[in-house]
Amino acid sequence: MNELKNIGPNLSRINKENPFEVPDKYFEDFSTRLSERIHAERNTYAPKRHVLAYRPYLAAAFILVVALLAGNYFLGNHRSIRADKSFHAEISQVVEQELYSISEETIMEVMEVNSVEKSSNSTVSPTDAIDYLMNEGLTEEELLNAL
Amino acid sequence: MTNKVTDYSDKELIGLFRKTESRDLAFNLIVRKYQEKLYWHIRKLLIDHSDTDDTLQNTFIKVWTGLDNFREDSGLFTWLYRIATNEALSFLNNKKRRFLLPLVDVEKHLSNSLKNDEYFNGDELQLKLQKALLTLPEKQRVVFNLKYFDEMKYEEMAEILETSVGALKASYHHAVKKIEKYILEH
Repeated sequence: MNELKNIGPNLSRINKENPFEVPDKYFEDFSTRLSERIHAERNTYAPKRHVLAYRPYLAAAFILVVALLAGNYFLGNHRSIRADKSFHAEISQVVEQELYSISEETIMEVMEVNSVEKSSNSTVSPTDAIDYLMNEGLTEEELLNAL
Repeated sequence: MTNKVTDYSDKELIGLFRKTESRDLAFNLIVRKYQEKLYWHIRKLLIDHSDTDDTLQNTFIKVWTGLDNFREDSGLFTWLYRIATNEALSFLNNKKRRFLLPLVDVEKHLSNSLKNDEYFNGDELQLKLQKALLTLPEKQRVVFNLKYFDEMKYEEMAEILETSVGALKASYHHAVKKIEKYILEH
């Protein structure tokens, strides 16, 4: 306090009481409003999270298929046509089994999420557009006139 | 007899939150324990009540999603203040970008709106102090508010703002000097 009086004598004379106010019952109602918002967001995002949980399995299946195909290609140079055919059949069987182990519903959900993500990624937000135009040399005044 | 919110320690509240059956209750208790402190901390930075309300909600949503991973390296109180400060500063930056205004203009706009704000009840000197505060860089304003209004120790502030005590002392000193100058000139 003495330090404040020394470096800010005028400031130290100002009433320190909080000059701001809140609407009536704001704090009483806050937790209810917050719970409602959390509940709403939970419902919105829950299915998406559920689908995302399958992603590691899908990625693992994809890597397995690629590895098998790569192995086939490499070994294909050293095998007879007949052996190659039987190897192809083996791979097809493994791939088929991998795909059957993933439910159709999951595949559809993942495709849906991917398409939503792609479309949301490709959307240019107004802020990005403004940043781009300003980087291109447009002044704030020109932008405001164009709005 | 029922327990009051303040009867639970932060550690107990975190423990309750981590149990599925008491998760919602614990979160509600955390909100009720800290909502006012965090509200006033944010309000002094954003000035406007409805901006503060949005930011406070965002703060607690981050708490809801992040509390499971909270490692308790710092206290819950420190962690909450850190989230609230970051949310408030991000809000200000987004507002500046949204309105295409250079840095100083949002503060000028807030300063002008203070006088007509139905939720501002300060006298002329308090109004002048708020206007002076709006001329400071954001982080200096945070330091000043925590020290001057909340009377927080530099060590606690250092944890929240992840800055050294020396830097905070210097920042507060400069803030007081600038405010003093503003008060004398206006």
